[in-house]
Amino acid sequence: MITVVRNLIHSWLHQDLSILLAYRDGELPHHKARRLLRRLRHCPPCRENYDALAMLEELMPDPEPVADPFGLLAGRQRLAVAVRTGSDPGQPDLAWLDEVEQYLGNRARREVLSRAQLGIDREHSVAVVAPFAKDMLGVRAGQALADRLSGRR
Amino acid sequence: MTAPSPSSAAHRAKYLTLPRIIVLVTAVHLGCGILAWFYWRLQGDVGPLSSYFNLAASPFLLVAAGGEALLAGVVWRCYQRQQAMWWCWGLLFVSGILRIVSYIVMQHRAIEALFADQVPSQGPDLSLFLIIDGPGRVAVLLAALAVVLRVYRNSGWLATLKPFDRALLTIVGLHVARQGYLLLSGSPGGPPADSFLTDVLLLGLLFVALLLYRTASASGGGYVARCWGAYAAGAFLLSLGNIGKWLVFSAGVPWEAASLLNWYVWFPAAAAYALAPAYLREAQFRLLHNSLPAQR
Repeated sequence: MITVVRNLIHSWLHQDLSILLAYRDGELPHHKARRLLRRLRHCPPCRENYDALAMLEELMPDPEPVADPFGLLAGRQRLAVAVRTGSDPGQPDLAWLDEVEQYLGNRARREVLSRAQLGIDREHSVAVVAPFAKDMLGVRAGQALADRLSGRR
Repeated sequence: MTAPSPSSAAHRAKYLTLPRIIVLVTAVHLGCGILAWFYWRLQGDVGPLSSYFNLAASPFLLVAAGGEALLAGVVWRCYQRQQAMWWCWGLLFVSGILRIVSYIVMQHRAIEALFADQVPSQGPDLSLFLIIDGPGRVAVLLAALAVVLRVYRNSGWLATLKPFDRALLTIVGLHVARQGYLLLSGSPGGPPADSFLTDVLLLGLLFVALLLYRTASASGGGYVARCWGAYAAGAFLLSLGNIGKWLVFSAGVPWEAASLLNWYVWFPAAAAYALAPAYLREAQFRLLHNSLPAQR
């Protein structure tokens, strides 16, 4: 009984393993990631859990190199580096997303934003709405929008 | 005389856009018409109302139909044949052409009949153009908007109907079912076959318009959503105009009361059909020429 209560209090006080895993994989939204980063700096038990996760990862054999067409792994790696070095991953510049909303609407903005928050770069974040933009605006105008959003133009 | 500064030209280009001009002209036109209607109802003087319909109504509808066809044609050229939207805009261009051709012919025949001192229905045969402008155009519009819904569905962005939409569709559907029953049973008050066909097509158009409106609303603004929202509004107003006719002929609503809907709904509907391609052309122009600042 005491163990159960202690575990319950522990789970209330400290971060759940699934959240730490999501953080390690770069799947937490940006604001939650920042909050957890602060916690990891100031809470030794949470930090120990996270280090244990990192140790487990090191014991695992190196995975086969995989293709990263959407830049997802690159984004995760950037976040992981920020955690290990204790540096602030920084607030990404998302002003360019206003243009997505201007042409394709708020829903498209949310789609792109959810990818940008995972640390995926602009070009690959925009790729999620590029086919829709070409369908709706025509090939040239849709491509022009994708280029502008990717920062290529 | 001094040349306008580049900043003032850019400012004008930013705020005096084609969609805004269309909205402004329609609002002024409609406002004048409604004022004339109230003047007629309150004072009993039909003069201003008659002048409005004789002088302003036809040019407005003609320019709106021309703008619809022209802009839809310009937008159509921006798509490639393998794209689904190429078919959609091609059909919308055809719809605009059908509208303007039938409108010009009907106006011409009506004027001819007027000079021949007879009412238009007794003049030269207009039935072909009435079919083109009625069920023909509605069928083309329906096909075009169905393509848009398919593209939205493929993107996973297709919305669902709200309870109000279902209630509206049920009411109109019941009316169409009643008309169908009267036609099939050969009752003396039954509608002609072409009128029933128009009713069925309008029911379909209302369904597509409501679904498109919900989908455009769920997209959360932007030029693309405004374009399809305008088409949805045009289709809805077209259906509303026909519902107004049913109210007078089937439900016994006095024509004077219904005239505010039945006489004026066609102007915003025509403007909406011109406004929709204007929004998309505006977006394409901004993207392709990249000369104008971003605008909310």
